[in-house]
Amino acid sequence: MSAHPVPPPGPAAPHRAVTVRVEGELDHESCEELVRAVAAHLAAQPPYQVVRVDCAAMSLCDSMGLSALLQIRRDTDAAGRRLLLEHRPAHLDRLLRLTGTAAYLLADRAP
Amino acid sequence: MASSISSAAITDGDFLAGSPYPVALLGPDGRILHASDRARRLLADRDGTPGWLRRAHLALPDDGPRPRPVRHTDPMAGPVEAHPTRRPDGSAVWWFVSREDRPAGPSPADGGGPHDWELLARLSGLLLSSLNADRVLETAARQAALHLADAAVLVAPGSGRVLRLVTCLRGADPAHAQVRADPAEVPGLAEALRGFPPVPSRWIDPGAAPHWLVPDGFGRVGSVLVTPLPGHGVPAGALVLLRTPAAGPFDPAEESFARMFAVRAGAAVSAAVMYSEQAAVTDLLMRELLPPRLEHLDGVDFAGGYRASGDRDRIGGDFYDVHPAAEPGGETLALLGDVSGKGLEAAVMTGKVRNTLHALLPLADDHQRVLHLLNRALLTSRHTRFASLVLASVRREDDRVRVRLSAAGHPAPMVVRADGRVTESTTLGSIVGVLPEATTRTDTVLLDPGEACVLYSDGITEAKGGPTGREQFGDHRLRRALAECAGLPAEAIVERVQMLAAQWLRENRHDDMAVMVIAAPPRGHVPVIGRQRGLPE
Repeated sequence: MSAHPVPPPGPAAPHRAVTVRVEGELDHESCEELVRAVAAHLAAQPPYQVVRVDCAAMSLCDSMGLSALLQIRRDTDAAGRRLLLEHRPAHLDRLLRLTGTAAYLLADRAP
Repeated sequence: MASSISSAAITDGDFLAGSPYPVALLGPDGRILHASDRARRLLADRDGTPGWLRRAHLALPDDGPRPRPVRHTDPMAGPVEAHPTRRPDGSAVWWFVSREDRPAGPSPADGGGPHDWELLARLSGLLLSSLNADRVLETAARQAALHLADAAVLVAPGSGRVLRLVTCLRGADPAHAQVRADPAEVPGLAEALRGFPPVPSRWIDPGAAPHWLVPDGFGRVGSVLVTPLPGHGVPAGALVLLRTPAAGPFDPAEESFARMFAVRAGAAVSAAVMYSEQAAVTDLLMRELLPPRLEHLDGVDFAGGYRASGDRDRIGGDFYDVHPAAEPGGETLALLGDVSGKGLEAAVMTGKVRNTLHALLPLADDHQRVLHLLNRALLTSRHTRFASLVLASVRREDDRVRVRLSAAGHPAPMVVRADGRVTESTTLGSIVGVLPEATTRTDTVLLDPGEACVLYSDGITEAKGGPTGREQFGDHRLRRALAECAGLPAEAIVERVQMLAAQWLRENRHDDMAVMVIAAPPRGHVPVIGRQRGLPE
């Protein structure tokens, strides 16, 4: 997982964004790392308005992984920021559909 | 003959006494006629010849080539080589050489030498090789008797008015005993059991040792040493060492060695006691959390199987339950689910889900409402652990079985038809415990005689194994396996699915795996009159 801060275009940038890339299996071993990384970005100053999670290289997401996604959604909502799960592989979409979490996790609640 | 030996022995005795190396003269019958001081200490022997030496001596051939040296590992001096030199009258002189051809060395009682630490390390290893408190006490008694005294008595921790003792005579097997006695009868014992520092052995009158303390066959007590076993912050019992008068008193170095031994024995005992207490707590919790055994209920067959992720843990994140209808002809509520994560934490949430559902039974005909209330009960701000499950309300209607299924974020159950077709229920819903609202779409399935509905956890379909070891078992293999199960009894389907998943996994790590089958008994099958509740194992 690596973060690529996108530098703000100007001093008054309204939408500072950060991307967290998830690579490999999002399971009980890696889920804590994702939650911590997102929490760190939410605490950053000046604040990021948008947290993007790039799922393109996610090979698996188990129930603990889903639990982590729900946690970062809760955290970004609480901080009043946007969370975008991008480049979702088919297995992740299938998991979100089966668990009925797609609407909640993918809703774009713009701040 | 006897006089000739004794006259020879006097000469030999004078000759041997000054030997700088351990040497002993044994008569034809194996008795020690004379031994140098070093040999006496090496053989750690009071009156008789040690068994190993006597046997080797009696086995010496009368003539022939020079006999080979005999090897023996002495508990204190380590490996000892004994070299015999035969004499024409049947006696023999035995020369002892300890490891590295050094003269057989000082005993640990001489204090401070490297042997102390080697022995202590070896004893620690022995003490820590078990987590069973009784075994540890036995080991401590056996080793203490072997290396520190002629007999050892371990007073187990937590002894109240009844003292639990493990006694051991040197070289014998430890014995457990319980005596109703006051520890104050042994000077220093009551204090040692409370963890106070030991009193010097010379202050203890050996004659005062009560009979219950002295193992049978020990004889007269020459000296007594009492030392506490310090545990993890609490006393772990006490060690009492006994010596015969011939063995002499405990010198200060021996006392300090005994104390070092007691520290290690105490740590091992308290670790074992703590472990067994935790094991008892876990056992108690698990009894509540284990899935029930399922049976025939109101004309419907139920069967379930469960395999926890670690084969060591019998509980985990998967669960199933069957709650019989409150009144005859009502609906039985069956459920199978899965909590995110595994291990004890998952098991605790599992218990919460099962208890909540049990309390919601009166509302069971409204699945949506049950899931809504369950979701609310589980919702917490502390974590995003969640549960997925399937509710199945089951009622027999003539010879058919009607099953109302509601999934909550869980794989939809599969239905095995009599002709081998396998279909998936269309129910779909959201997980419980983390989202603001829980929703579900209920699906009703009618089972003809011999047909079955299979509820399973994703531990089955996501079991990784097969030829490559990395492929998932998958829906399609489960479907194919079920197609071959048409018409089989519920129990047999559960076993078949479990067996195939286990074969697929082989030695691989896996998640919890649960499967439950609800089946309409085949025609001609006489249902059991009355009903039996699913009883916990």
